[in-house]
Amino acid sequence: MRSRLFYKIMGSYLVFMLLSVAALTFLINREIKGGLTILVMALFSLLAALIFSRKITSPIRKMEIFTRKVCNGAPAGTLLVESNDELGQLAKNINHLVLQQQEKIKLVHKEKRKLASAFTAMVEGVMILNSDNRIESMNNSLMNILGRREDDIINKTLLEVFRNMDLQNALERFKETGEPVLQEITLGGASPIILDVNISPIQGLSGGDEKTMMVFHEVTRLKKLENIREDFVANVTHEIKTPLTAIIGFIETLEEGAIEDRVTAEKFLRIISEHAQRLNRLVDGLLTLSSIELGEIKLHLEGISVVHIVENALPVIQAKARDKKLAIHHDIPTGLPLIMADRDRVAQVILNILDNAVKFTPEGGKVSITAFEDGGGYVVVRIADTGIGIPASEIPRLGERFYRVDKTRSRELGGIGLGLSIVKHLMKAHQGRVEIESSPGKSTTVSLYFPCSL
Amino acid sequence: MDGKKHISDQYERELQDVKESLLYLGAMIEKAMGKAINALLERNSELAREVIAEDDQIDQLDVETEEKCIRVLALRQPTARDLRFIATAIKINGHLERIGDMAANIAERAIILNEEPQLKPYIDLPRMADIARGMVRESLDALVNENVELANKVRGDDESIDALNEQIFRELLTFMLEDPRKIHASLLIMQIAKNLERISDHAESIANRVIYMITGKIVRHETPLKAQDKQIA
Repeated sequence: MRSRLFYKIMGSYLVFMLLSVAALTFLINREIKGGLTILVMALFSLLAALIFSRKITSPIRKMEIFTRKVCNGAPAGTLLVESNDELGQLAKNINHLVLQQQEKIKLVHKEKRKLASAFTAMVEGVMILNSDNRIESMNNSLMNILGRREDDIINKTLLEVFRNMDLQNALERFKETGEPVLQEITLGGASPIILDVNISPIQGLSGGDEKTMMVFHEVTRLKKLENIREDFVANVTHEIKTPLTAIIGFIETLEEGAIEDRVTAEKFLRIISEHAQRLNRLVDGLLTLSSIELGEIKLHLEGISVVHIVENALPVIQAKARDKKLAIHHDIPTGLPLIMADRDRVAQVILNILDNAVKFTPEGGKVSITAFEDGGGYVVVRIADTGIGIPASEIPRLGERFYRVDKTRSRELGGIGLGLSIVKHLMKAHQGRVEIESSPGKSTTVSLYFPCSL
Repeated sequence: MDGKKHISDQYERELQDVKESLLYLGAMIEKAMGKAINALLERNSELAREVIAEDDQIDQLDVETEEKCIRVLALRQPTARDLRFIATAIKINGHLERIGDMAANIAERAIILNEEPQLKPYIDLPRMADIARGMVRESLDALVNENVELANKVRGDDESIDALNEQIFRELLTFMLEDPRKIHASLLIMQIAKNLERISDHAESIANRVIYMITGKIVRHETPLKAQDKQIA
């Protein structure tokens, strides 16, 4: 079966032949009369040939323009060729191809966007190194962790950006072995960030490029918790061990004959009793803490007056304060709203803070107690001293069990290291809070926020 | 043509290698400083001993880096900016090595201090250490990013270190007057403060070299801008 295009081409070919024959006859005959007829014929055939050839070339020209547009990436639309022959079919096929290509591009874009948003939204920092070990790209998380702009990072080496020995060594280890490497690194000075870094190869790249992927996972908080736990275990054993050693030592001395000497024996027994009591206080403290934490302590909430609590606590403290020649001022206005609290527990909290204030204030200093309503539904009891103070960096750790700012001094002063921890938990149980401000060497102010009774 | 490009690539790589060595040395001393200070604040003598042991590696890298610089000078005869870079690298290398020594000095004194009960809670000393470490870090950042502004900032920071050093001295003097048994510990703390002060001096020198490297101007005998302003005021 012959195609339509074949007939078209054959048609124009035939016309061209006719034209040529006519022209030839004209040249041979050179007869004016016959020649005119032939000239007319020839002109007619030329016109016909032109029309035929236009019919073929114009759709091809259209296709050429269209495909060029597609190649340049311009939005091309659809190719319109109204013809039933192969050219029409070709145009249809081109349209189909273009449509398919556009859909594929759309799909690729979509996938790329998906990957990019996953890359950006990841909590972990991700970085890709090129084959020269320079940073090729990184995600937003990593930039946030490092606190740097992209321009400061891209195309730099790890040493230029991080200047971290451990990281550099880890990369070299990875380069040597080709095995994935896990390394913990610490960045920064005053408040360091701890990161777990995974270094692994990127496989399946064309062109033999060896790229390296680094995933950074921030573990600062986890490390902190780990430290707190380790400190706690170390401290609790230490705190129990110290009085026990003393008790055992003195008992052994007594057994070895000191018991015969009545005066010494009494002195030793007193020391043993002191240490046993200290141990008892420690265990009590720990029990209190764990029962508050477990929510086992039932608070008997009632409307109570702050003035009343402070006045009850003062005589206990004043004895200690007199020994150190401290002045205690208290100025609590009458007419403060009642607070919603457990009488005994509030007394425990206030005594604890007052006891600390007296303990850490050198002779001749001053402790003052005030109270006011803060307007947000709280009554604030503020206890300020002129003591040794606490460095700002230590304040957040104060509520930790056994945490001591000055490890030697506070133990000398007889603390068990649980006071503030208990205070913090009790205040929390009361839906209140503790705020501590301090300037080292000058003063410390503790504010206790108790919710008002409704 | 291709051969020429190859040679210049190799040359670029050698310059980068010097830079990387210098930065690695920087990373080592930053770590050593941090450890030495923590050894003191956390009373951790084990950490202090690590710092002292690792000082040998610092010394070794110092020698290696200098050799790399000399090799580039001898074989490549760098000019202009590259020459300034190599000249600066040799100088900075020396400063870094000295900072490493001071970190080891601090660690040695921390070990002795850790044997005794703590004299007082350290307040100004960690602050001083933070500033000194910050200065070292920023001077090296200025080198990496060729940042004159940052280098100038480092040059100004030295003042606050001097002030803290004096404050620590005065405070320790009162301790010593109060109780002669505290003299030993006080002197050790003073030496640590002095070492920190000298670290900050080295950081300042690094900053000066960085400015020279970038601008070609030698500024080390000029007063930093901030100080100048203050004097006028």
